[in-house]
Amino acid sequence: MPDIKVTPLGAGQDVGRSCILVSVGGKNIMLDCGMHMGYNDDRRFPDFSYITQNGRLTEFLDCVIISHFHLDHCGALPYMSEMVGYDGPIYMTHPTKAICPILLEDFRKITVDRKGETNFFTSQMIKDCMKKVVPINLHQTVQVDDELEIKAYYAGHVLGAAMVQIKVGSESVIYTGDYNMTPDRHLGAAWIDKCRPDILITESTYATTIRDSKRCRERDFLKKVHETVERGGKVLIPVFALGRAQELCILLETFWERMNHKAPIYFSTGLTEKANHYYKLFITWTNQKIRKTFVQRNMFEFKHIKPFDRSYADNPGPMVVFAAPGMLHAGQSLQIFKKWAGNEKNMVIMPGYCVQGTIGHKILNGQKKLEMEGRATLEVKLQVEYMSFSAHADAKGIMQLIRMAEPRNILLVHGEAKKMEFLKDKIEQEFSVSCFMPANGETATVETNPSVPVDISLNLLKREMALGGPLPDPKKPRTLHGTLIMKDNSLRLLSPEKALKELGLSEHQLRFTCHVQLQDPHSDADTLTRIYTHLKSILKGYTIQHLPDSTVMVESIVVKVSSTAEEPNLKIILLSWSYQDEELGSFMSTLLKKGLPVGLC
Amino acid sequence: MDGDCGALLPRVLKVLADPTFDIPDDTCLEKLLDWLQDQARLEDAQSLVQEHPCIPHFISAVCTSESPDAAILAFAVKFTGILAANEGAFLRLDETGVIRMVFGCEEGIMKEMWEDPSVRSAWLHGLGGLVQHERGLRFFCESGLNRVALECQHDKSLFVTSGANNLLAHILNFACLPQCEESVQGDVTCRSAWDRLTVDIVKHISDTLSSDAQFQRRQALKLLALTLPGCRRPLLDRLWAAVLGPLELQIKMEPNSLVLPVMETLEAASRTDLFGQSDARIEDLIEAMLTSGDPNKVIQSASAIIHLEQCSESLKRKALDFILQPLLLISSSSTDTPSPVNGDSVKVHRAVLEGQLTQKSTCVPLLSLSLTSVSKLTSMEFQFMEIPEQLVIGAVMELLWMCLGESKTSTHLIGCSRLQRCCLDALSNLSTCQGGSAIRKNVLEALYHCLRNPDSEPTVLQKSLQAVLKWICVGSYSSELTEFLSQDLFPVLKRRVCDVQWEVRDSTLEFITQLSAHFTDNSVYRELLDCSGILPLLLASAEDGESYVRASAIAALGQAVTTLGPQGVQDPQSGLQDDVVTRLMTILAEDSEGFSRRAVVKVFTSWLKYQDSPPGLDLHGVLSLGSDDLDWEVKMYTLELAEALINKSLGLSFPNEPSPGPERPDVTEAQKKLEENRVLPVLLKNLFDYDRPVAHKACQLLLRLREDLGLTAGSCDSVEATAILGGGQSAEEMVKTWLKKRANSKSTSASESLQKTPDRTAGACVAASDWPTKLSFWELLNCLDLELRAQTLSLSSDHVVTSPRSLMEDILSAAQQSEDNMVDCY
Repeated sequence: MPDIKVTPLGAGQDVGRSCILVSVGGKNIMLDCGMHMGYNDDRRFPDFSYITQNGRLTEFLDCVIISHFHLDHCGALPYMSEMVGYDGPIYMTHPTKAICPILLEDFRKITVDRKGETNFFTSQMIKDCMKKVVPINLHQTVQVDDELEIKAYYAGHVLGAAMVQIKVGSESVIYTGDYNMTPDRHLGAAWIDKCRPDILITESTYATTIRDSKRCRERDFLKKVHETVERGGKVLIPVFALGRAQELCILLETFWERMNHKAPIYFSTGLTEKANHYYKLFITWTNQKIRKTFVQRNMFEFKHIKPFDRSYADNPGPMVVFAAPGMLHAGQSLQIFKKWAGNEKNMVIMPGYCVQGTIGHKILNGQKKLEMEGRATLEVKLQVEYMSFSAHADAKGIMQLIRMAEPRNILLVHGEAKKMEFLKDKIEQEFSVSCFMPANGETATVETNPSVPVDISLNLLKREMALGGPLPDPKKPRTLHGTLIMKDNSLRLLSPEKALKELGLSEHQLRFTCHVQLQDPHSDADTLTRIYTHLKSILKGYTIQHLPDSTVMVESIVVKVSSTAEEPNLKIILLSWSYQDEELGSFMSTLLKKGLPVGLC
Repeated sequence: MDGDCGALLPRVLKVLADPTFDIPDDTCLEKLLDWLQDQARLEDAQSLVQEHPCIPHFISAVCTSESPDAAILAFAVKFTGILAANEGAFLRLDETGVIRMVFGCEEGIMKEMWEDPSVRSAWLHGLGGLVQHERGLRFFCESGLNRVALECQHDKSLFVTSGANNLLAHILNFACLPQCEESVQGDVTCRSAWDRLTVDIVKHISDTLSSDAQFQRRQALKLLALTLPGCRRPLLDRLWAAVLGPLELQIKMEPNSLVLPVMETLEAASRTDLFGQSDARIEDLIEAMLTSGDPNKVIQSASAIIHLEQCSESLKRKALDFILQPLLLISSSSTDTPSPVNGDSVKVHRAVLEGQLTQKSTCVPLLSLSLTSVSKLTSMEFQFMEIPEQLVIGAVMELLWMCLGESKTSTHLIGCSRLQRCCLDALSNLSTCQGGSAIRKNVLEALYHCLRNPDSEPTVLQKSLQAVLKWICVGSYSSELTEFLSQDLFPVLKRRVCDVQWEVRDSTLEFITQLSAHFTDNSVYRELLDCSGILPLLLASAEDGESYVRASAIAALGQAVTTLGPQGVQDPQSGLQDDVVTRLMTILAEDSEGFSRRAVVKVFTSWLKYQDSPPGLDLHGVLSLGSDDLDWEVKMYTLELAEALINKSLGLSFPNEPSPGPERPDVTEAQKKLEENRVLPVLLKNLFDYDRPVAHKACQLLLRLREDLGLTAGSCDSVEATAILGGGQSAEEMVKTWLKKRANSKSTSASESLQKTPDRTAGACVAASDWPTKLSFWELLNCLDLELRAQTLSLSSDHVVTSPRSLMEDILSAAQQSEDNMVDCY
């Protein structure tokens, strides 16, 4: 039975880094190639030696597909393509291809900052990797090779994020990447066809959560910023160059405009312009509201947000600063934090999660005294707020997507085991389909029943119709006899005569022959007559003839009797039948092996 | 273990043993384990256990807990393994019953949690530590753990099977470990335990190799490949005798989907003493790998055979025939020339192969494999034996023509970029073959068609350019090459530089840079380049919409100027360099992208290194713009420019350059030159940069400057401090602030400081309030206490937060957090 195999190397019962290997119809596809930001050594990358021992990834993989630009989905790509070595195609959407290198560069900087880091890719490697990327459009079917095709669907989550359908023949897989089923300030909701895949591989970050509306979180964020600025405090928002930063910029820009706030807002990374350029360029990927208002006013042309200079950090009075990097790893955000940490009027808002080994992680854990270099301590008096703006589907959203796509099987990735377990039960109960949740390194196998399309000759169909019987009905399959020709990558069902003619072959008859020995003290002719009588009594309804050439015919089966002069009583009965009468032939040989009944004339 | 960490450890382990504790971050435990492993290695693990009773308490608390977190249990098991690798620690832990609790997987918590793959994986990992000594081995044997380990070898998790293979291979090779050899030889109990284990494992491998399940056979082969390199007689003979039969059957099996693991096993076997032994039949088995009915599998085997050190020449020749056969077959069918690979060895194969070569779906993987193998051969400087290399190159070219649609016989490969990429890689590698120059013209013609083909994908274009460069470098420069450059290459490059796809534009510009660098000393090339009309296109490309392309164009321009010389070739008055300098300065000041600005500074540095400072180049302006840049790498490259300037001023050599003559410029002269370009303010400003690599580089340069100028107290005239700082207000402010802080800290520990750095206290008196109006170079550099700063900056920026102490504090503070830390990610 054909099957689809799914092996996560990352994102199997965790949210560390996504890297999922799918084998379908003899094709091997890697879905995402993420990096774990919490490690400083090789553990941050997936271990590709589990895929292929000889390291020849190009020979093994038919393609790599990246769902979106977040580093836990694409961060290991240059490592894989340029350091391990992969020359095959890499697919991602246009915005992902444009934005991905910015984030990779952003993270490369952090790794350079951390001394002693080895085995990390260079700027040139990022560029060389990006040159291997084939950009795809939404809803465009891309033919990877003659058998494998892929198609991208809108996923929300971040600009350019896509879900992807992978098809080989009639077998198909959907991989969601990260997605969001509710529209936000700049992006729309995920959407997919009712494509009934054999398996839907879905993220399950919020597998058990019904999240409060994002509007509430946004209101809360604005309220906190507003209050801090009103009391003359400074607000620091550590961000990565792209993604959430733009979302929050829009939020603040609109709010500042409405409230007529005068406090300055700064963006410090130096990458804002590029980021905003991409948001403008890929306006079609944003939500309807942004697209509609684009003509009158471009949402990404910020009036209130200005570039930051390091000397501004010492300016008196309130201000809001977006600074990189996002987890207070090092660099500018950390320096500003150090300056402002001692004043309780100030606030730091962490809009995303922070890995262990960063100041961000420490302050989110409530640490109030931080050790600095040379055993100095920094007292954290400013307010620390954590606001999750990550745009993932919650439990309701995941169920909604399943309803949309109607998959035959579901596989959960990118979530915590315990929460996945809960969602798995819920899915199996509600949809009566199998739900898998393999751990990293485990393989889930789904058997498929691929329908193989075959062309049937019109003549054969007409002949079938002429024989009578009901008209074709997809709900009531019935048998149709014909000759299947596999030629030039196509399958055709023809009548045997037509097939012979087309292939230039002559017909051969296949006959099965067997010898049965039995003891009978009569002459050969008498024994044959006795056999004839015996068969007549047993095989009612069959055409049985005793022919003058000392042969008995039962349908197509020939029966002959012979013996030798040395042992005249040992009769050798020859049975020969065509393959159409195979069952009857077998039955007769078994019957005759038992001998002839006594008293038979 | 340092005191702080030692004090924190009991609290941390207590927190971890608490079943209600939620791990704050999935990396915490692994990082903690890394540190504990270091401790066990640096200190004696036995004393670690003795001095920290919290350790056995923790392990036993986790193992007796009713519902421990699988991650914590896995951590405890791995930790036990790390400790138990030391015999003394093992005994200590065994006394407390911990060893049995942890590794007795058929009872207690381990049994309950066994379903979790991370627990099984940790168990195997832990046992790997435990069986480092004979007591551990005996425990392993007596507790019947071998059976479970063997079961794990067929586990559904790849990580568990891999762990099991490592453990079993280690046990088989236990007697060969230096620390264990004696005990196995001398101690009867140990010997008998090991014997029993090896009998079971060898039987298991042999049985599994005969199994119907492919997955299990694969694991058995992996285990064999892991074991054989370290295995010694007599076990080696016993093992090989047990696996030889099943291995033969596996090799004969059709279809054989385990070619690679089988070849790895045979490769490992070929490196043992068995190889020369006729009854081991290793070479026969290797040869049998070439009899598969599937040409793909045969090529995979052949490719591995070629790389075997021990293998006979005849077998290598046969393997080579198989590698080349598809390639030569398809090209000879097109050119109607007989294939030289017609030996008996490959005859049987031919019919299947021909069938596969006519179908695109089977032909592409087959030819790709053949080409990849050829590429690998050339990179190992392999000689093609009796097969002329030119024939191989010809076959690759013929295939390339087929892909380009220029072959009359074959159409099914037209436009196949996967094959084109493989062909181009092979051609690049084949350029090193002997006699390459004789066919250079033909190869370049084929490559030119790839470059010209409008349907070529960007990756194909990139590889074509790389191949062109390799082949251009083959042999000497000739008129033929001039013709190719001027009539074919430059026109096509001019088109590709304006291609609609940025990847193509960028690869073309990168190629132009490399080409110009290669021909720097070639006057014919210089003339060709100057007349080619490429230079205006390079200038235009420096304004490309894509920053990668702009950066490559800038590099190409920089190299072109270096190659052509400052005045160009044709029109010495054209002032090419002046034009370029003006353009580059504008880019440095205005370009919104870091890549382009970095490229500009790199070009200036390269010019400065290899020629005199270009006329018209305002070095002070570059240094000033570069050091104020928002991009940290622009600042880094600016510091490299400053370094080049320092070297130039002081008459010092650059790395990989001959040292300059004995005459060194006058120090005062050099100082003056550096002052003119205001190098010091740049260095001082960057010394306090937010980005640590920048600050570190600036600090290193200041230290070098101080040393190279040979400055001592009183050797320099005092100059106005503000003049030195060049009016760079922020730099001055930073120096003042820094000095103030330093003076304050010194006043609290003045005597200590005085003792430590008696020769560097000159600056201590320079407090911000009495900032001197006159300050010598020496005074300034000394009062900065650069050594201390360099020491601080040389550390990783996150060294404090990633220290073990910090990690433990994080775990403790997470335990105090009452709020639920909801899982989050991007």
